[in-house]
Amino acid sequence: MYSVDPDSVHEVVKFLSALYQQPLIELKDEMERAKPSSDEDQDRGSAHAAQ
Amino acid sequence: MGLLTLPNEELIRGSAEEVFDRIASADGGWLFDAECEVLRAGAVVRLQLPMLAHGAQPLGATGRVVFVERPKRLVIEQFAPWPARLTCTVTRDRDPRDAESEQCRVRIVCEVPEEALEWHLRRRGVHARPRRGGDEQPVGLLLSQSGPGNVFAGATENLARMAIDEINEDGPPLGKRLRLAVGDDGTSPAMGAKAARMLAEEGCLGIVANGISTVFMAAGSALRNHEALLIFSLANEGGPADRRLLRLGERPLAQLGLAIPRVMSMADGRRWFFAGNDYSWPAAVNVCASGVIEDAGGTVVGQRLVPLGTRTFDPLIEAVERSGADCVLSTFVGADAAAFERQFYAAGLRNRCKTLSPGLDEATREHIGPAAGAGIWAVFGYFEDLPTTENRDFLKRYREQFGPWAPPPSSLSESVYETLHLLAHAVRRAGTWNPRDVARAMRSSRFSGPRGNVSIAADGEMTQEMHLAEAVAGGYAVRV
Repeated sequence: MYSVDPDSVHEVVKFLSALYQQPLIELKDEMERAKPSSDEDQDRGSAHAAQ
Repeated sequence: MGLLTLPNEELIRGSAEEVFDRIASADGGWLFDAECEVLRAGAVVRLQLPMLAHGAQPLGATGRVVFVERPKRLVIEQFAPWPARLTCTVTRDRDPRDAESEQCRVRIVCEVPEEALEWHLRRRGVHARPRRGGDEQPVGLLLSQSGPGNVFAGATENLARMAIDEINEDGPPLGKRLRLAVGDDGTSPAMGAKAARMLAEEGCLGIVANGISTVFMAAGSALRNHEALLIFSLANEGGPADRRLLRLGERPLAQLGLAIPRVMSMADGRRWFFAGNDYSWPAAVNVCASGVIEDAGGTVVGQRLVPLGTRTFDPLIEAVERSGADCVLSTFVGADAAAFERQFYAAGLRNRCKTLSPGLDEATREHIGPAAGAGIWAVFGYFEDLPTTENRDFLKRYREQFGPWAPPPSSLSESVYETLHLLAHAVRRAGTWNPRDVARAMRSSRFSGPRGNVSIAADGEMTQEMHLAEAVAGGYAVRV
């Protein structure tokens, strides 16, 4: 319906996609920090056992 | 709503309940630092959208939670700066490498309509021109989709679209269908001037401005060499007459003359403190209020104006407390008003001081919340609560078109609906879009709409009935 420079539209779409992806990346980082991986759990468990 | 659907998905460590609890955490939600009093359908939400550029400040967005199903699904309608629908879905998953470990698939789907793309293109200085330009007449709407004023932008844009649809259905003026062109003034004179110029360059011969007065003045200057009529639709302090500028909306004397004596009587007090944003409208309101208060036997015990965008009001609230004021005249705008009133309530001053505002509308009240907002008084020519047949019909049409969760109409947003109808009537009467002829036709005209009968005097000032209302759970209750 609108006549605009396709590059401008592409830039906007790229921006919006990155914008709405950002909280997902932040959530993943936060949950990873809050819940160390099972490998790390095992490492910590071994370390405790060694002590 | 979607012209464009943007899906994003991640596998995230943790149970669905843990992830959803993080989304709904009370200390500011995970999704764009969402501020939301209670996560339930209908709750208003304020988000901070990162602009993803080095040094760029996040942009405040407004919206509403429209669906919650713990721990599976959350849907938010974003109203401003641009419309969008965010659907967040959380589903349980199993890590194939570790059967004991819980993880879930979190998916965010963002649907953006054409208007959102237009907002971003304009922000980049790109005109979004319709392919079939000749058989349409663009009409401009200059409003605060970003900045502190964006609290009532969602309803304003909806009501402008509703008015344009109605005008086109009635038979568009001079046979050309109207098309709404929207410009974001950013609650800033510089951005407002730029957006007004873009609207004029796009061919808008009539532009309705629905922001702060300093933006209107900057837009007026920016359009000096353009053939466009600029009409200020909402409450304002008036100003010098110009053949291409019209200032409608409530004037301070009409608002305060009704409200101040009554609020003093209810407060059983006569000491006033003026608190607001630092620009021309609050300053003019305070000058007017001083006279009305003096006539009513009151006194002004303090006054403080702070910059737009202020978020911490401790020194101001302490000054109100020290002054021993019985009443506060609040002239904050949008998000600033919401933040101030919430902090004022948290400081325990709501019960000691009556608050009167000539600018705090239904949409802003929603952002204050029911508890912090209860007991605020506002004075306007229109409230959603007006018990007239015209208003009931108007609200029915609004809800049918935009749904139950659309932001509430208020005097600030409804003024755009009426102004566009007045503009269309004037163009029909003038038989031309020539701005000077249309302005002449608008002066000395009348309109009967949701707020009742309004008339525009030869000097452009609008006469309308004023109402005093009290904030209650769910909105305002008109008392006078």
